[in-house]
Amino acid sequence: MAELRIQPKKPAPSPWLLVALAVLVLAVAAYFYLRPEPADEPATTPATTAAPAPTDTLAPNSPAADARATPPPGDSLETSPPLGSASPARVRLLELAPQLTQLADRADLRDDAAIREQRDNFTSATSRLADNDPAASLRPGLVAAASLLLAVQQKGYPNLEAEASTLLQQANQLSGRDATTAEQAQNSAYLAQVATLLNTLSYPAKDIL
Amino acid sequence: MPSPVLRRLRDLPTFEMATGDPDPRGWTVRGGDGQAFGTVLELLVDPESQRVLYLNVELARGLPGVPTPAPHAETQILLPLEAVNLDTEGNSVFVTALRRDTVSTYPTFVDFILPTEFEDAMQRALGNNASA
Repeated sequence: MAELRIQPKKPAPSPWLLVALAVLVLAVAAYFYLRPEPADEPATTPATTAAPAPTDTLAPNSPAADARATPPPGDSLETSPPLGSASPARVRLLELAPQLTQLADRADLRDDAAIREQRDNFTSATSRLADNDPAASLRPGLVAAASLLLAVQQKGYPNLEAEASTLLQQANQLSGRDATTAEQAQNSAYLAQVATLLNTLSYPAKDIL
Repeated sequence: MPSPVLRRLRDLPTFEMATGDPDPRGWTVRGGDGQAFGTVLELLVDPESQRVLYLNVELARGLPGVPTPAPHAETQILLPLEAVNLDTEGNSVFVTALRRDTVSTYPTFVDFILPTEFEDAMQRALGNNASA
């Protein structure tokens, strides 16, 4: 003997509620798909602002040009870089800045707190250089570059510890000036090592012997 | 006991089949010999007790002894639910008290009015002496 029952229909959700939910889902999806990648922002900023660095737009002997030399304590006019021309170390450091920030923003590195902190330090130091901040010194950027590379090395490249540590020691010994031939040679050699280590670290750790 | 107020399920838009219970509308109706003789057209329900009481069955054309209906019309019968067995796997309704060749003796359902005599006639045809 069969038995069949009926029941009151359950109230269906309002179609407007479904529409609102669909809009919400689309908005969230659009936000995540269309927002700029964190890796893009710092990479483009130095690149665009670094471009005018080689050509000096400041008038020779202007107060701004005088201030830009930013001599460290004890520095004299004789050791300041020639007015009206950017120092080679500054230009080279600003050229390396996008690659360094891109390295720090790599997917396997960007979540590390130490790397993020060093990246912020480096960005801060180089952005002041790129903005031709008269109070900006070259030395913080040079040291920050070595610190950032050391943080990256400690994160995933244990076999490069010696190179990264040596680089940081070298950075700490730099005067921050780029006026004399000896200083320029020292800075150039240091930045060449930064570029070499940066190039090495740009490969996955498993590819580095 | 007052007679229930019967309604077609399709006329109750706020009701549906209970969760877990099959909806036999469209199922084949078969007699005790397994021969098909109709199709479930509609369910007659009591909204108060929330139960299906009758199956409204459309008889197949050409059954022995059943007059051929007018064009675009069909011959219908009502089957009390307690007289049938549901085959949910085969989507069939079995009525052991009827057969294809005896369904002509079963009272036809001509209107959506269920007088007491009609109910009695159905029960007699199904072999039940007591009125439902």
